[in-house]
Amino acid sequence: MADYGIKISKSGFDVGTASNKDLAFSSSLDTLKVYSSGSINMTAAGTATATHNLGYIPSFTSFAKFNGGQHDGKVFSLPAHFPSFFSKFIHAGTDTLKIVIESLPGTATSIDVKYVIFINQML
Amino acid sequence: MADYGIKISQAGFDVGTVADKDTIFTSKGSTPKVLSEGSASVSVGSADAGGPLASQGLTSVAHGLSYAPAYLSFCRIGTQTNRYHANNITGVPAETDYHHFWTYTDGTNINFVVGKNFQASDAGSTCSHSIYYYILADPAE
Repeated sequence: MADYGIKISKSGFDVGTASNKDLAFSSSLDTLKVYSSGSINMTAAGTATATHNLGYIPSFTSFAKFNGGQHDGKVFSLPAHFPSFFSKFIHAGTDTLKIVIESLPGTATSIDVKYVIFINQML
Repeated sequence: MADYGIKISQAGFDVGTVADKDTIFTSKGSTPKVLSEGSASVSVGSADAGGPLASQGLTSVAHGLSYAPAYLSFCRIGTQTNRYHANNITGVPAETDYHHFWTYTDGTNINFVVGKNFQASDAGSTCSHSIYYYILADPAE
């Protein structure tokens, strides 16, 4: 069967000869596809849950915006651990049904956790 | 309205029946979009001794957006060769100190912080750390 597909090169590169790193898109390479996203406000240490019901463990990413305290307004990717002002980890995990976020806000009064669950199967 | 969109299946799957997880691309799910990328460096001074994070360095890069964007960042600690750590990492031993790397965004900048646990045996040293980053168009808040 003939080679076929879709390729879009970055500006300044010939799509006929561009290497993968110089492509904006290639149908021969997987992409991260967003399944769902949301935000959870946490005012104290604990666990928050977001259900996805995909039936498999998806890839995901998450960020925490600090409200109040030393780092008001800053947005960190999770997991994050700051020895000088956090006594415990912030980390995100996932299983077949949900994404679990545990946190301890430290000097912040609350955190807004933004999570993105990808369609892409991790395990 | 009729169902419509674009779907590309992985090799070996029928695009007409493929599950979303077996697609290369589907317009049902948006994809992270890289807005800009670049390199930076963070220098950590040798100002004082003792204690966790006795010295810290900060480099900020303006992203030009009105919101805090999602990002990917990687840091090479000190003179480590071909060893880049992602986003947030603590306790990396290098050059007689333990180094810590964080990235955060706000409504103006993407910010890179490297701190180190200063040790008396390392008095007077400074370190430079190489960063590579991707700023995504997708908001992180």
